[in-house]
Amino acid sequence: MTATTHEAGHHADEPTGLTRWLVTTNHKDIGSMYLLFSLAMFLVGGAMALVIRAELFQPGLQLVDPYFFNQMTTMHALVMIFGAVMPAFTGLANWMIPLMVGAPDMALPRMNNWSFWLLPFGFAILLSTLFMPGGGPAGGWTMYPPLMLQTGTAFPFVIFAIHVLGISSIMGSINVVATILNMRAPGMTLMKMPLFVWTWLITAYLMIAVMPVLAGAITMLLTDQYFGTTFFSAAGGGDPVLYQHIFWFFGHPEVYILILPAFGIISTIIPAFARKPLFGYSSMVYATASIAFLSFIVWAHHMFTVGMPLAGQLFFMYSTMLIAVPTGVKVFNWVATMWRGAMTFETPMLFALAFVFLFTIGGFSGLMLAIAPADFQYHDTYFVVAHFHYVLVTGAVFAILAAAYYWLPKWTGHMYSERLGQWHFWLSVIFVNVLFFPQHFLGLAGMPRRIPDYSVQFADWNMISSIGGFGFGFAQLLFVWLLFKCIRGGEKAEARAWEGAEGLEWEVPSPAPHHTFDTPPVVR
Amino acid sequence: MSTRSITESDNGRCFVLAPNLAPDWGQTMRIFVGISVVCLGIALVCTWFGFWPVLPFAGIELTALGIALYVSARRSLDREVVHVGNGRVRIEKGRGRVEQSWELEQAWTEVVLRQMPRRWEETQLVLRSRGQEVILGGFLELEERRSLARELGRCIGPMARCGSGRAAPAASVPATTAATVTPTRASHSLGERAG
Repeated sequence: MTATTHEAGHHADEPTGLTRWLVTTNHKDIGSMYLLFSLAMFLVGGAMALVIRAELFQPGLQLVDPYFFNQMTTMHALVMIFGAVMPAFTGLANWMIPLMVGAPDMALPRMNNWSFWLLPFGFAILLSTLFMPGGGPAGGWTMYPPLMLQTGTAFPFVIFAIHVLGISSIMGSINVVATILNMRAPGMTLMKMPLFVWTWLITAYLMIAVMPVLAGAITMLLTDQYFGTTFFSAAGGGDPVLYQHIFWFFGHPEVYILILPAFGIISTIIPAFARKPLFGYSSMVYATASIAFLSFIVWAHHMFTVGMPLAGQLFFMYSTMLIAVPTGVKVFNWVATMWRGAMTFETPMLFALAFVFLFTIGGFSGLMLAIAPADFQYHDTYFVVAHFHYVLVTGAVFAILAAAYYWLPKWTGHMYSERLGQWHFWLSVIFVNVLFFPQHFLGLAGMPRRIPDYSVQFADWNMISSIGGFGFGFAQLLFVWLLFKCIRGGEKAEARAWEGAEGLEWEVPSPAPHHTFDTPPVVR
Repeated sequence: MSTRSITESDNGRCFVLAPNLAPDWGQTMRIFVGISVVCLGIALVCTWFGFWPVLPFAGIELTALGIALYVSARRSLDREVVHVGNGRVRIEKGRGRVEQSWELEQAWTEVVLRQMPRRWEETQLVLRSRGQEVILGGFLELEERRSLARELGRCIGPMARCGSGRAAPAASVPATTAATVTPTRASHSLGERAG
C-alpha cells in the first residue's frame, strides 16, 4: 500500500480575504487567529494593569475612582486568564498538535472554527459591560457572592459572557482530545508523543472535568439574583462559603490549565537548545498527570481563612505541599537535560531559562502560602499577588513567548530579528522582576490586595513596582514590532529552523504549507 | 487521509480511499469513561451538596465529548472503493460493508474536478457518465483529490479527460503525485479491504 504524496503550494481555489478567516476550518488559520486574538487581549489586559499600577504609583487617589479601580482589577484578571493565556495555549495547540502528531488537521475542524469565533463574541460582551449603567463587574475574578450580586446592569451579561467563553474552551478541549486520540500518525504511540501534546491532553482532561463546575456556579449566582433561589444566601438557608468551595474546585485546576501546556513548551525548547534529548521523558508524563490529579484535592488552600476544621486545614496544607514533588521532578529534569548539553542562548531558550528560574520562585512562594498558619498572615496581601504573577507571567506568559519565538520561523517562514528578540527578553526579564518582586515585600509588610489607596509606608516599593509595570508593558511593544517585521519578511527559515529541534513539525517546510500530512508520516 | 491503488487479477485497478484515522476504539472508550467518571463524580458530589446545576452542564459537556469522539472515530471506518476494469467503473461506498454502489461504463466515464460556486466550498471530485454523477473522496484533502483525479483519468481512459476542463482536467494536474501499484489481489469485502 502506498499513499499518494503531498504537493504543496497549489491552493488557488481556497477562500481569500475576510471570508477565508471567517469560514476557515484550517487548523493553522484558526491557530493564527487564536494567537493574534490572545495578543490583542494581552495588550488590553495589560492596559488595564497599567491603569492599576498608575493609580498605585503613589498613595492617595489620583487617577480613577475606587469603583473603577475594582472594575479594572476584575477585568484585568478575566481578560488575562480567559482572553490572553488560555486562547494563546489553544492557538499553540491548534497550530502545533496536528503538526506534532502528523495529522492533516484537527479532528473536528468546523467545531474548531466555532470555538474560536465564540471568543471575540464573548469578549465583546464582557468588555462592553464597562460601558453599562453601574459599570462592569468589580467583585474580583472569583465573583464571590454577595459582593458580585451587587453588580449593576452588567451582571447577567458577565455571566453570559463567561458561559460563552467556557463553551469555547470546552469545544477547544474536546477537539484536542479527539485529535490526539484519533489522529496520531501510524507508530506514534502515547508514550512517543511530544511532551507538549501530552501536557495538552492532560490540560484538556482538566478543562472538561472542571468547566461544568464553573458553569454551574455562575448559573447559581444568576438564579440567586433573578429567580429567587438561595444557593448562596444564608437568609434562605444557603451558604456563601460553599460558593468559594465550588469556585475554587474549578479555580485550582484552572491554575494548572494555565501552566501545564507551559511545562510542555519548556520541555520542547530546552532539549532543542541543549542539543540533548529530554531527561526523564516518562517521569515528565507521570509528573504532569500527578499534578493534574493533585489539583483536584487542594482547592481549599485558597480559603484557609474562612474557617475550617483543623483536619481540613492539615489535609489541604499537606496535599498542596505534595504538588512540590512532581513539580520538583520537572525542574530537576529540565536542569538535567541542560547538564553538559551544547547549549546556545537564542531568545526561545532565554525565555525558557527565565521560566525555569522565575517559575520556581513562584512555586516556592506558593509553598509558603500552603502553610496554613503562615497563610493566615499572607492571605489577601500583595504577597499572594506577587506569587501568582510569578507563576502566570514569568511562568505561563514567558512560556508562550518562548513558544512564539521557537515556532515563529515555522509559522511565518522567516527568522525573527534575534537582536530585537534579545532586547525584548532582557527588558522583559528585568522589568518583570522590578514589577513583581517588591510586591513580596509589600505583602509581607501587610499591604492588602485590591485597594486603590494605601498607607504611606508602602509608597517606595509601590513606586518601584509601578515603574517595573510600565517598563514591562512597553517592552511588549517591542515584541509586537518584532512580530510585524517577521510576518512581513526577513531571513528565510529552513524546514528545521533550529539545529537541535526534533519532531514532525520540523519535517515540513517553513512556513508550514496550508495543508500538511495528507499522507500520514510513519513514526518509528 | 490515504489512498491506495491495487492491481487486480483481471489487470484492472482498484482504488481504496480511506480517512487517516486509526483509533484504538478500546483506548478511546477507556479515556472517555475515565473523563466521564471524574466529571460526573464531581457533578454528583456537587449535587449531593445541593448544587444540582453543575450536573446538567456536566451531562451536556460529556454528551458533546462522546459525540465528538464517536463521530471522529466512526469516520475512520469510511471507505470508498473504485474498481476500473473490464470496461466498467464500479464504485462502492460504505462503512464496514458496501452501503451504496454504482456501475459506470468505462468508455463514457469522465473524471471531473468541479469547482464550487462558493469559494469556501471544497472542490469536488466527480465521476460522471451518461448523466449519472458520483462524488468521491469527500474526506480527502484537495491535493490528494487532484492526485486521485489524475490517477483515475489515466486509468479510465481518453473520455475521462473530457470532463474537468474548467477546473483542473485530470491530464493537466501537475504530474508530481502518483499512486504506486502493488501486486496485491483486492478482496471483495469492503470491510476486509478497509482493514
